[in-house]
Amino acid sequence: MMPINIFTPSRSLAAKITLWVTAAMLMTFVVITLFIYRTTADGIFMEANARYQGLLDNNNEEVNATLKAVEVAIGNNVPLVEESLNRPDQLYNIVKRILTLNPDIVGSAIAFEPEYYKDKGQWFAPYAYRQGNAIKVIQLGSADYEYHYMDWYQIPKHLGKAYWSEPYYDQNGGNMLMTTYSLPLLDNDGRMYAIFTADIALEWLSSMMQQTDSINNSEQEMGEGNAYSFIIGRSGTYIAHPDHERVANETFFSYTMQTPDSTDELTGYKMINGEEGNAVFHYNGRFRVYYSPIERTGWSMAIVVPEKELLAVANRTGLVIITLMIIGLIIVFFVCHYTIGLITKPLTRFADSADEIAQGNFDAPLPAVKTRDEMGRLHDSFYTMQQSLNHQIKETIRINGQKNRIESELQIAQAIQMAMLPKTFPPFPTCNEVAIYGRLTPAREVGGDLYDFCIRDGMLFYCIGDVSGKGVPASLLMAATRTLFRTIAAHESQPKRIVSMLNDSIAEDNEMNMFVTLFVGMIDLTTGRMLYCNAGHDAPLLISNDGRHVGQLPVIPNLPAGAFYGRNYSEQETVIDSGTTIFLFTDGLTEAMNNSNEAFGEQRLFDIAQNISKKPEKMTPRLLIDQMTEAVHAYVGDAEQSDDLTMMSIQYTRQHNDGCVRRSLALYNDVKYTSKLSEYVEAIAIEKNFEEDLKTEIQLALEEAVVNVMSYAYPEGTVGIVNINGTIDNEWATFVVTDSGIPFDPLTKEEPDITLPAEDRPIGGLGIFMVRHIMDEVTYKRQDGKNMLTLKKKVTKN
Amino acid sequence: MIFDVKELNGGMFATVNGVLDTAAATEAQQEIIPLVENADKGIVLDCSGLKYISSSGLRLLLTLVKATNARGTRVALENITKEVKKVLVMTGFIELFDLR
Repeated sequence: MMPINIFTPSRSLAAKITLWVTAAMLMTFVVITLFIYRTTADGIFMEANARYQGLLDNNNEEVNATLKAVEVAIGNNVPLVEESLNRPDQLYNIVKRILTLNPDIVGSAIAFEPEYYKDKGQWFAPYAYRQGNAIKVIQLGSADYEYHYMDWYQIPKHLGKAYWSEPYYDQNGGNMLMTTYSLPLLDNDGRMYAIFTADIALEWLSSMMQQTDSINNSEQEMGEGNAYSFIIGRSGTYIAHPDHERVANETFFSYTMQTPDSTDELTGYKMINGEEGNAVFHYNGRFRVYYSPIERTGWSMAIVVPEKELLAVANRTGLVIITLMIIGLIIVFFVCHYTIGLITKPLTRFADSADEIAQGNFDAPLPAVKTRDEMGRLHDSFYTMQQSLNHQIKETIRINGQKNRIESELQIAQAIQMAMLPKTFPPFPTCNEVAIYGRLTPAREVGGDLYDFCIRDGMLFYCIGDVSGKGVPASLLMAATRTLFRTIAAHESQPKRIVSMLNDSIAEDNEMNMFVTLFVGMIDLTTGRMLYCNAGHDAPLLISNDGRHVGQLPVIPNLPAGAFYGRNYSEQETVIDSGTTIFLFTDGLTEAMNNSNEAFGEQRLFDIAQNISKKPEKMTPRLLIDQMTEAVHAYVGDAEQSDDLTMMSIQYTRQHNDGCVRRSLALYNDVKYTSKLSEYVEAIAIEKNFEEDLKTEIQLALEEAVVNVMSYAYPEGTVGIVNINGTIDNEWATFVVTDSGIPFDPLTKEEPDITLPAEDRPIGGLGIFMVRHIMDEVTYKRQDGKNMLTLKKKVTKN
Repeated sequence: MIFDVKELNGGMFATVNGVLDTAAATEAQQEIIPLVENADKGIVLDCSGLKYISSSGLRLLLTLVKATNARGTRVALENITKEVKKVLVMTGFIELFDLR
């Protein structure tokens, strides 16, 4: 068993319960004990009251008997006195005979009024008294003893009835405490003529009280002798008291003056008033005083008992009860502590087990509990918890391991994916014909965006793409696409062929129906001629050298690569000037969302490109992408990147110093775009310093040729592109108008007769007539599925 | 607006401004409707602001000429620039108008 840690701050459950139980029992015991003690004490006091009042009554009877005997003796002699009034000397015999007959009476007198017998003079009082065993007779009154003024004479005379005097010490007769009974004698007229007295000694009173005391003290069995009794007279003077010195010398009130309680005096007055009762005095302890009057004399008799002696039995019983209770409590304490400790002992073990489990030992042993009580349930719950914890921790460890493995694999995948993208810039340090910069910011570890480029045979092949979906599946297709691009571009020079082959490779066995939007381009680095094929991707931006022209490269959308096997892809062609920048991007840029879920948008892209190109510093692909990245980050703010963000910028930087101008224009097949021709021709005119007439002629011829193509090469409602590639040297201005429309040779048209009157003139045919008229050479050929109309005009100045 | 049309001295009068290329001619198709409808009053075009004309523009002018010829009136061109005149000459259109 554990040591009892009652006094340590962290008490055990057993100690706490035991303490509370013991404390509650102690409280109950104390209340019960107090109640029993009070009840017992009350009983004892009631019993004591009865007993002491009984004792007092006995004594009273004894006193009364004695006093009454005296009264009777005197009363019986009154007739003799009356008979002997005529013979005064006979009266001596009467008093002598009273003493002879009554041994208690120590003296008797018949004291007459002054001058009752003329011959006897002022005083006549025959008096008998004892001297030794003899009885002497004398005449009491004299000038030395004028009895008429004595209390024993005066008081009964005035009261007119018998009277017991206050006790007194008799100076003449043996210095004894005496009292005198005085009976007034009346004549026939009712006048008092003499006082008939009898003296008795009061020594027997003391003896009687001593006897009472000895009874009391022996009954208490305490041997202390502290109970005593006394008698006081009408004025409180002690008549009998264990301390003889006090008798007739001190009064009860001289004693009560020493006590602190003023009610003691009240008790004294009650006593001399002749009342019966009991009271409590405080004088070196608590005392009980039982008192009773002696009515005949007006005295009061009292017995004084110390309370502790009265209660000695109760106290002793109380002590025994308390001792028994303390022993009981101690037993309860230890039994409780042991039993509860035994019951709760598994709790400590459970705590130890829980500590051990918390430290990772999931197989920690549980304490054995065989009972089917709450402790048993706790054991079952603990066991279940342990099993469940064990299982779940193992599961968590397993999943965590898996997760870590997947994460590390993803990181490796990311590294591999990033390594697939060109990341060394500038990529061709010795090539001064093109500057390229690209950047891919994946939204997750791996993404589906890609960009790539390579140079072969003086041609730059580039592509940008966005695989449908995100994450690992997209990244796999991205890797495949990028590899296919590299492989195909190594031997195939036409973007539409590259895209077609890519499409077929992906579409074959494409069970997941994934696809990739692609933009593939080829730039002939010598001439600036660019072929491109778009497979469902966003149209790139073209930014002119001086920044004045920012616009979308016209593209035929086509289907994304991988959607359908065997699909044909159309290709466009243009010629880019030195300094022109192509900005390619994925929808991660235009669809970048800010916190309000608003997309970055094409207009913003346009504006930013325009702003950047207008800046004084030379625009480089890197600057463009840096600023675009900055702008999109500022726009998005702290919103989460939802899609991969990829940008690639290609600037054609080849310097032509042969005086030859190459400029191209691509237009959608809508006549509303023909206005762009005036800008196009204007730019060439400024560069080659053409005269106004020549410029207007070239513009007119180009417009008529383009409108013709738009009208005939593409059926109504189809979208197509018309390319104009101009090469202007110092001798010739050559423009090749190319379209991918239905085969159509405008030159086969009959020339209109321009001499006809207005009514007969045809509406068509005039355009081509004008072209032919203006240009020096107009030829048509069909090549690679395209109509190619070549316009040549001599520009040599004369 | 390329054709600014109004009635003047009982005849139709329009100032022609800007460039009559194919794109502009398409829009201007609507603007010449009042001229065609009132062809019987004769048409005068002030071409001092017309800098360029293509075959599509010529087509509009031909529409006006046919409308007037049918009603026995004529189209007169005022102050044509040399660029426009060059085209009119090249195409033989010059004969269809009264030039002032």
